[in-house]
Amino acid sequence: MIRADGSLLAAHRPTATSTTGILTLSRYDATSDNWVTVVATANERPAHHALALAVDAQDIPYVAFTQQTAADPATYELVLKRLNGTTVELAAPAVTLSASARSISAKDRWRSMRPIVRSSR
Amino acid sequence: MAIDATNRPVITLIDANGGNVRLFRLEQGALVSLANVTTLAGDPHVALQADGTPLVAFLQGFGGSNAAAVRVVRVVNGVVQQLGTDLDSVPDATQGISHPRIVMSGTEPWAFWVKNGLVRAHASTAQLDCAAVSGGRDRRLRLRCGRAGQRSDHCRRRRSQAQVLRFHNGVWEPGFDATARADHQDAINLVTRGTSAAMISSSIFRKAADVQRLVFQ
Repeated sequence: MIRADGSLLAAHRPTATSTTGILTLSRYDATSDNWVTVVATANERPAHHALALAVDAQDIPYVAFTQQTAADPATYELVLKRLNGTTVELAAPAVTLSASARSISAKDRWRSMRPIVRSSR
Repeated sequence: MAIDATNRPVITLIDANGGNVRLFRLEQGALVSLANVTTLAGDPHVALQADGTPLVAFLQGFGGSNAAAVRVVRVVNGVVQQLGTDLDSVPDATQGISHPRIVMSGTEPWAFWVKNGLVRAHASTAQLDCAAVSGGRDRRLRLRCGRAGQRSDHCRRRRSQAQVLRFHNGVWEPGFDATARADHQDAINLVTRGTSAAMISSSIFRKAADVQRLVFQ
């Protein structure tokens, strides 16, 4: 995703496990040519397969993903958060989905492992 | 996920309990369900018309087989309308179809997907550097795939083709789209900005990532 200032923001899963994976937001630092972690863990509980990232017209990034519900690890919920500075906050209460819900815009687990880089609209 | 003109994120995902395509929009601090599209579906992606109407591209599966079709629907006030006919399909597991993607160029939706017409043994991990600039007549999008780096081994790689169609005058237009291709891709992601789009693709071994710049004209 490209921010208004031209910087790149990526949402990704740095771990390879589907049940304990965390979701991370990273910013590309052109000066050092490195990806710098902005939000180390965007999710509260093990996330499911994928996530989506977009930025609105006010340059506010949103990240959407599914994660286990607190009540039942076999049930997943849709979570939408927005980036506020260096923290993410809920944009809306999570929506509980059916058990074993597959996540956003990805069919297989490996697809969710690839970074998602999105431009602004 | 896409965000409309009033800064409302629209999210699509698969609810695997039946493979339903779910569609939500953030409205006044709540995720509101817009549609529960179908069953046995997969890999949905959403784009928005200028008025915020969601278009969702996804793979439609069929019970009792490995057949699949690329389909695009429009969701208007909770009503799901298929846009044209199925764009493409495969009859069984001997072929693969994946990564339906949809972007808007002005008022026209463009659909992208990957189809594996021929499945061959593959062992090469050579990177394919696709450096392509597109341009065409009549606002058409053209892809050129050139090698900017190592020579790729065509013979030993899965022959995957990126397919492109645009929805024009009520139909998905065939033509150049069927032959426009970027070989050896089995994963694509699309980003758009203005009249340009970038297609980020992965090789079959998921180690190489290529970016193609596409220009809507």
